[in-house]
Amino acid sequence: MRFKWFGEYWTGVALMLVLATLAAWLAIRGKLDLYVHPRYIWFTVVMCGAGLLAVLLGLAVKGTHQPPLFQRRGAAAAAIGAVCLLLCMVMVVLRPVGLTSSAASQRDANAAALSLNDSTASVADLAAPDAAYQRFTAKEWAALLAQNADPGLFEGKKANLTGFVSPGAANNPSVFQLSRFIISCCAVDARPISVPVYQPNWKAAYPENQWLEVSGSFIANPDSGPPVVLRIEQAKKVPEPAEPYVY
Amino acid sequence: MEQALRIFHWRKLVIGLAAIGVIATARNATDYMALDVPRQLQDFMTFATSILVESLPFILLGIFLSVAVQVWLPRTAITRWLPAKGWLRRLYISCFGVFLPVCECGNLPLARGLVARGLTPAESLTFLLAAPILNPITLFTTWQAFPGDFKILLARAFGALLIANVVGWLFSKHRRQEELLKPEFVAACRAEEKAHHHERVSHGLELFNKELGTLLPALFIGAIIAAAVQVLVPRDVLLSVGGSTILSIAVMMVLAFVVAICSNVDAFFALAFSNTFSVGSIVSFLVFGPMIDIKMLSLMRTTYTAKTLGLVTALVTLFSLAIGLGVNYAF
Repeated sequence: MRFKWFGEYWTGVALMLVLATLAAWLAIRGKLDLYVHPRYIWFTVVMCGAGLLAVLLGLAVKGTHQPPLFQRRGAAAAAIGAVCLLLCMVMVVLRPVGLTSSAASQRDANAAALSLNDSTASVADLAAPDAAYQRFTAKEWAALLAQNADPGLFEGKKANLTGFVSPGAANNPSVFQLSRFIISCCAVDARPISVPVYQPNWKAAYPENQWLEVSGSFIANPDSGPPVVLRIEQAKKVPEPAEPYVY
Repeated sequence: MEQALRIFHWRKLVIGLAAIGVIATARNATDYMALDVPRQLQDFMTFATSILVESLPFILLGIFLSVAVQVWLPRTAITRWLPAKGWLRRLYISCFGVFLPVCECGNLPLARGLVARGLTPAESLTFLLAAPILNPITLFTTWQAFPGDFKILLARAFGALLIANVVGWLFSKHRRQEELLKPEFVAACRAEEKAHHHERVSHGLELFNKELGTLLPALFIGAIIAAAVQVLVPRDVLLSVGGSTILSIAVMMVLAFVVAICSNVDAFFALAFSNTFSVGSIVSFLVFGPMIDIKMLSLMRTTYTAKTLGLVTALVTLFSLAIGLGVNYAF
């Protein structure tokens, strides 16, 4: 069965205009790093600019030929074109945000996902006289907690962390995960890093995916679950930060 | 100035610019709308957009190079420098990536351009399989990610060289090379051969827009499937078998297929699994991923038949598995 539908040529032009304009808009608004590692931003902007220029010149320079806007196409080709254009429309309408706790729960593999190479923190820092650990971010704490289960190393150490609330794989009613994503290239390779936070009946206090700024100290877990947890001393609900991922 | 004014269809240019303005304005306006969508759908959109935005610059670079090869290089400029002996020719072709360090998405449009300029389909497969790995950026980042582990770098480089050349050799035995390609692509190449273009710039621009029409829908479909898999298949189920020698190789290859990460940085991603997965499985991930993944298969389908791609996938899977097992056995 064949339909009269946007031709292949014009589908490509439309997809290019939407995607490159969207990428440029994201870059201008400082939101492109929700999708790709910051090292790619300039390359993306330059290539999208060059691509948009080439598309426009391909349409406007005399001597270039364009096929008719509508052509008879097979059902599969027409459906693919329609799905692509629909995705473009949703991309334009939906507000860009980072990955949520839903993706974090699905990839709750801190130990497998985080190696010492991701972090410069070491156990020696925990005992350093200058309390170097106070500068640790969620990445450093998550790396240390993934590799050391001895509560004695962590007890009493203070931490100030920002992350989103995630139930974790165990869905423990007294412990939630304060999570961030670490990315190497783009959001697809995002790996969650999490610090367990002790808060009995936490679901009543904090909705899933809520971003929090938490200050507290590490303690041995009084309930079931991970051996070391962060006890909240102060917690403030905050909006998703401009840079939600860590690198 | 008057001449510059005459070379444009101004109406078309204004319509194109207006379209960009409408898209940017719509995006800006909807940025203030807080639509409450399920988190899984939100993640699906983040994954799909991420794949598209990350791949687009490489695809565009590949199309620019492909157009340059087809329009500005003389017909025999590449083939005349290649040795006549098949195996030596493929060995040279597998090193093209040294001069064209783009990742796998960018290599596909270039491979199309190279076929249009005289490379056989079997040779284009050798190029496609080798170039994403045998290029300075990929090799450098692999070394950066595993600085104390020379065996991973060597196994990756020689593994890619071996697979690309063996697969190219096997497909070179096919008597009717054109049958490896999609009929539509063959027809387009023939039409290009017959056409007489007097003006190179307008010909190049026309080719650029035509290639977008072929490649971007394929990229979108690849991104949609990859994003759906990311949302629907729990990754921790896969990773729970990290300790098993043979299963870990299979799992890392499935992960490479699903994640579809750019070959230039995939070593940093693999690094995170080096504590729990065997060295062989890391090597299999690094060899298999740049050659075959969801997004790449969708892009390759614009050029090769489904039968060709099925065979290529089976061969690359078997060889990557064997290389992983060999590394596990040796180290």
